[in-house]
Amino acid sequence: MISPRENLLHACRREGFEWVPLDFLLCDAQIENFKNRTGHTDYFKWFDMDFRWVTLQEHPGYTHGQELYTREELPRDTEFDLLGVGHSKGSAAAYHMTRMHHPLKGDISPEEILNYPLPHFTEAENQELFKEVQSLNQQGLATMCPMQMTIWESSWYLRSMEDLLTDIMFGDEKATLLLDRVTQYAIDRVRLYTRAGVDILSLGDDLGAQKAPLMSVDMWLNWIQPRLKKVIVAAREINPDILVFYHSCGFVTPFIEHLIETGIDILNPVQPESMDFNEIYSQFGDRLSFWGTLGTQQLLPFGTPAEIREVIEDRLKTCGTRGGLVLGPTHLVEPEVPFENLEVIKEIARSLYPKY
Amino acid sequence: MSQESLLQEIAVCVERGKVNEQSPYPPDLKGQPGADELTRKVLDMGASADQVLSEGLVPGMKIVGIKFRENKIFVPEVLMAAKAMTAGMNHLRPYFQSGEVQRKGTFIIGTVMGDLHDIGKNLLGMIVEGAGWEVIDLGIDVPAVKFLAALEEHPGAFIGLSCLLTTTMLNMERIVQDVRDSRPDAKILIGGAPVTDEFKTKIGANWYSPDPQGAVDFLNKQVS
Repeated sequence: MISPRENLLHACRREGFEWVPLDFLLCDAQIENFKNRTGHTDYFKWFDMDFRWVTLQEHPGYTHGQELYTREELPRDTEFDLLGVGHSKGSAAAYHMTRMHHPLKGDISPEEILNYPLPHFTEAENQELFKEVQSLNQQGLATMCPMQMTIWESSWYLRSMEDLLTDIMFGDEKATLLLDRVTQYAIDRVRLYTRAGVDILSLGDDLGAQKAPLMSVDMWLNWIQPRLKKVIVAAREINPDILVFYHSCGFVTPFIEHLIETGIDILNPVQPESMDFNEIYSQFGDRLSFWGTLGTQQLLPFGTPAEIREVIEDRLKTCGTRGGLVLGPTHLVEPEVPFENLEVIKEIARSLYPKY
Repeated sequence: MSQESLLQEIAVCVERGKVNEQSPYPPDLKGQPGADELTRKVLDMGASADQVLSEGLVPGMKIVGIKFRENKIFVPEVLMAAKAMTAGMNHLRPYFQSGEVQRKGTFIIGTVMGDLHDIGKNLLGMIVEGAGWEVIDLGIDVPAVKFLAALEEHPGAFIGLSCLLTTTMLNMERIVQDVRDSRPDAKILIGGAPVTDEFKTKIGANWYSPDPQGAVDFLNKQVS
């Protein structure tokens, strides 16, 4: 029998698989549901996931997040992430979601971008990451590193979408400076993760709205794609075999061919409310693998187990014995999804294969 | 240049997102006057504010709404068009305040309670404002009570509810119910990624549109 790591990597390379690889990411409320229902604490283990996330240790570039905001008065409960992006709480109905505050929003100089304190880290202080990857591999598990919001999203989180888009449309040097700095930060992290031996780089930027691209393909090709390519090249210079997973919500069909050319191996989440999986598979399935595909807007919150079974059967039939599919919800599983609908994904996937 | 030609030029500036002479966008119009200068010029030549609105700014923004619906342009282009529209509208503010020119009506928008996303709602606001409506933006995470208070302040206004998440669709349903309990005749439009026409019917909203121009078409029909 092969190890979970081998199973996942073979499936992602479309070289066959022994069981259907699964992926779940649960919000805090669903983790509580999981614990209460199963009595277990580790849902990765309980769902038989073939991989684990590993994260490098970084330090924020600022001392007090508040100091980054000279042009905006923040709510008192604002917390700051590693980048210095502020997050203030919404109403109780907003659960874990927060309102974002952008430290570089507004009338700023190019120097403010050049001097913005991005996070920092060293390889010496990240030896635990190397050991963790090794230990997980010894347990037969694959490893994946979280590097989504790679370029476009991190940049607009810092500058605000409106201001970054305006900079781009005006051809303002501030857009170039910010995107370049965020790209270099991504390259530095990618190099460390790759040296640590991570199997799959998880990159991504949301490029799609529900039924349309967020920006034109031309704009993406001019401003984002060349920088994404640099990030991927930096990883492949160290490990030519590293797999590159790319996340973008929404409708991204016009970008897919370019993403493949840029070096993407796996597309996530292939939101079925936005794109028809079978159409995408027929166009790109010989060159691209897929991760996700079970809709969290319609199927999982409102579907019956029979409907979920039908979709999973269809997915497995489409992908066949070569694989190229990791099944899972297309988004962090929010509170409205009945936990039973997550359980049945595992049950069905395990019961169907190797039938399909 | 005649007033008529200037009004057409203003429409082109809005459609192409040409804000003012200094604006480097779009590159092929660099150095040329934008919606800002042309609006001032045509008003100075004696055009009425109503003409500027109905024959210059609104027709330009209508093309933007249609192109956006047809996936011919995307968020960045709509953003630039809205900036050009605003540059022109700034010259009309005194006329709105004096009552010399009237908007078509008032549209109160907000992202429903529990949802903190605002990109879709902002795009809707830009395009509806560009269609000649006054837009009252209540922001994000908005409870029913705030929509009702805004409706109290702007009698006869239409309400637009937005959400991005399936989680908050359920709040949208509650807000429609709460608004209806107090104001059974309220006209409520809904939109957002997970929302469908079927859902609109289920929760008793009046209109669903997958794109901002659909909301404009509905609103304009109500006052035509």
